[in-house]
Amino acid sequence: MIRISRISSSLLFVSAILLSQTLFAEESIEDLLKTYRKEADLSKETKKENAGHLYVFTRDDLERMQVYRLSDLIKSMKFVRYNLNSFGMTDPLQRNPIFYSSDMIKVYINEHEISSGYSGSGLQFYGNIDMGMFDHVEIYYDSPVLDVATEPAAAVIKLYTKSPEREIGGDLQLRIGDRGMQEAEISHAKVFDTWSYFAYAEESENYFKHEHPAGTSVSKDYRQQHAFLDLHRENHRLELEYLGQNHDPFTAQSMMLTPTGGDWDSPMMRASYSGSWLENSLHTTASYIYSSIDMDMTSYYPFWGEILPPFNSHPHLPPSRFKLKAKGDLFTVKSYYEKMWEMHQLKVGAIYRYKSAKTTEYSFNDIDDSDRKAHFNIGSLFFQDQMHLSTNTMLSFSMKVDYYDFSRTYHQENDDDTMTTWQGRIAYSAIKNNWYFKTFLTHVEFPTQLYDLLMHGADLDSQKFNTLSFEGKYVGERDEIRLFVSGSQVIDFNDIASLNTGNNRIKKTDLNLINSSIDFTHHFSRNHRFDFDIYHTHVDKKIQNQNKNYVGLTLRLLDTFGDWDIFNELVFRQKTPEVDPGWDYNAGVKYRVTKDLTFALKGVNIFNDAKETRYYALDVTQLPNYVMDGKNLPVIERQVYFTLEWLF
Amino acid sequence: MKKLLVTLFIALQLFAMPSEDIDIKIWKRLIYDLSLKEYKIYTIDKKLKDILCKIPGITMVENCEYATLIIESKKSVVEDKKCENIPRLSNNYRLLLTHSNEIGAFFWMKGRPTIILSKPRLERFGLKVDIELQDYLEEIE
Repeated sequence: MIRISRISSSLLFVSAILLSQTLFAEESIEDLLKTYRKEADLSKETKKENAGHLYVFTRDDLERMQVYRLSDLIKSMKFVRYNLNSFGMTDPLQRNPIFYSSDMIKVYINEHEISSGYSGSGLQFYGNIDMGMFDHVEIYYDSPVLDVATEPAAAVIKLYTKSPEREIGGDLQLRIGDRGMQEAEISHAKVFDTWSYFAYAEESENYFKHEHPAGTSVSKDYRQQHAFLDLHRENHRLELEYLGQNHDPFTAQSMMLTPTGGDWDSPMMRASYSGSWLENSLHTTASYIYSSIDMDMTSYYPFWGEILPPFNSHPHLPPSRFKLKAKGDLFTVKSYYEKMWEMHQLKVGAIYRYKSAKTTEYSFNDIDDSDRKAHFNIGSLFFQDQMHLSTNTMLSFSMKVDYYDFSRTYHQENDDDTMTTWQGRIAYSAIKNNWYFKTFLTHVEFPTQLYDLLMHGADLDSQKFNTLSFEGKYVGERDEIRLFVSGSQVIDFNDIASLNTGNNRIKKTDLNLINSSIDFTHHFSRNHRFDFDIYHTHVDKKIQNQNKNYVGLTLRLLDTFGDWDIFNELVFRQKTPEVDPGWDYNAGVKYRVTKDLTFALKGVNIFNDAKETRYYALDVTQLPNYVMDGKNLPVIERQVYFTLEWLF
Repeated sequence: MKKLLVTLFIALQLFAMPSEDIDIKIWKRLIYDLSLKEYKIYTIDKKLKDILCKIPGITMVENCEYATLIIESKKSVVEDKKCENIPRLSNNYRLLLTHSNEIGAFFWMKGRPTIILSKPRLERFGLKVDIELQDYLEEIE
């Protein structure tokens, strides 16, 4: 069956390529306007090529690929794969049953980081976000500093919202999917003499297939409300956002994967400001994010958290109940000044960040251990000098120093700590004819996240990455080829032992990491494009049950025939211990009935063969002896969507 | 010279290759599809000027009184009262709605670039448009 699926998907690709023979049509004014839309993509104004190794999904790409969820893009990201933690939160680097492992991947909306007081990455609640309000997406790999990220990052996903100036008017999208999935999105933009706005609202109910190990239910169903308002006035911009999610418990970190009910809620509110003065040379951003998490779930057998103190001293027979209530504040203010001085483009700035988290309830079977709160005051200074050696070459140097002042109350004990870390980069980039090169030497330090400090009594420390990376790109008339290689020496990597019942479960280790990838794009014509990429990751030490070598590839074909858009995509992810390789085939067709009315049909994981994830289980019925076991569960479900879009 | 190189480099951004060819093609079509007797254009918008001066057959004039067409942008509106009777195009929808001498605009709406031409205003200036632009005519008074 799998073989047939693969052959079918290959045939679909080949047939679509054969159909891609329509070349440039005569340039009517309508054709010119369509070309202008692609050429004038907003990403050309926002992307920072020298900030990292950059991959862009333009507005045109997102529309032709029918990207309705951020997960539609994350699942084809290089060096990671789309994954969920034990509660169903997006966690590409997940190492279950550890709560969260992807703090090194950051999410930004426009100039502002989406995160919370208790986590290091906004992917927790933004990983599967609706995409109706976004214009384009930029993904930066390899420790981007200064230009794109506030805190250290291994990868940054930057989501840019639609511009009021370009969106004048309204957009309504109604979507239904199998198993009762439904979604409505509406947006409106208007421009006045001195100010403009873009407003957006979304509501959805998402239903997936449920697995039933041991007669119980593993559900990823979730309901979401999302609202966003973007106000512009001259060089000032105010963004207001609300995101509310109510999610079924998935595996609920249940030790034998036997959740029997409950849910979790995670509302997030954001207010962000950005502005510039002195002819755009002085920039300031400020952002406040309030977030909370409220979990209440039951399981037939105990939860993983029950093996940790103080609960392990209260043995409990099944069934079990777990409750967690936590809230976090994140306030960030950043200011920097840019100046041209002869051949130097200088940037100097400072960042202050306040990050706090508090648990008001953390209990198993009504035994409460919620006396935990912690906060960070983080101060940063940075400097960057981009030296334009000639029209085609640039040498840049950047340096950032972060000072962490940390305070915690944990099990009736107060403690304080401080830490200083630094990030630095030397970068060289050059252009010669159709060839582009860039190479970076980077040092970056990732601090212990507040969640581990708060919940596991971890020590304030940092993981250090020294990375040398190279990218070479050839851009021809119809072809684009890109080679990327990076080698990292990782010092004090946090290897978390999930079965260690002690307070601090982090074991420090050193390792080396090599990432490489090849990208190829061929334009058959203006309306027909083929993308291919393959990547390889090598780690010289085995971390948990992961491969030391890992390969992934993506094939994508985007076609436009008149008013029809056709999209084909195949994402392959290699076999890992106990989990088969994954072949995730996605396809979509879109028809523009009129300029303002569009129908679209999209299938995700059509052959239901996408890579699954192993969720580990511990058989506690045989205590004191236990047996590690687990079950493979789908993280990308087979789904079909039908969408109606009306512009007004 | 160095400053020029640096400015050029930043304007292009390493690896980014914006093209203004398509702007030139669209403005060229829009202007030449109007039944003007002469193509003498006046604008005070520097970016638009850079584009328009590359269109063959068009004369850029330094004084709006000598122009047969004025092209404006949101931040570069020609206020000179002597030029009130000269038809205008812009790249801004709001200017088209609020200024009675704007005969049309090339701007973004509903996430896509679009052209709108005012039929009554074109008639007031005694102008006609090529058949290709007939689809873009609207009854904006």
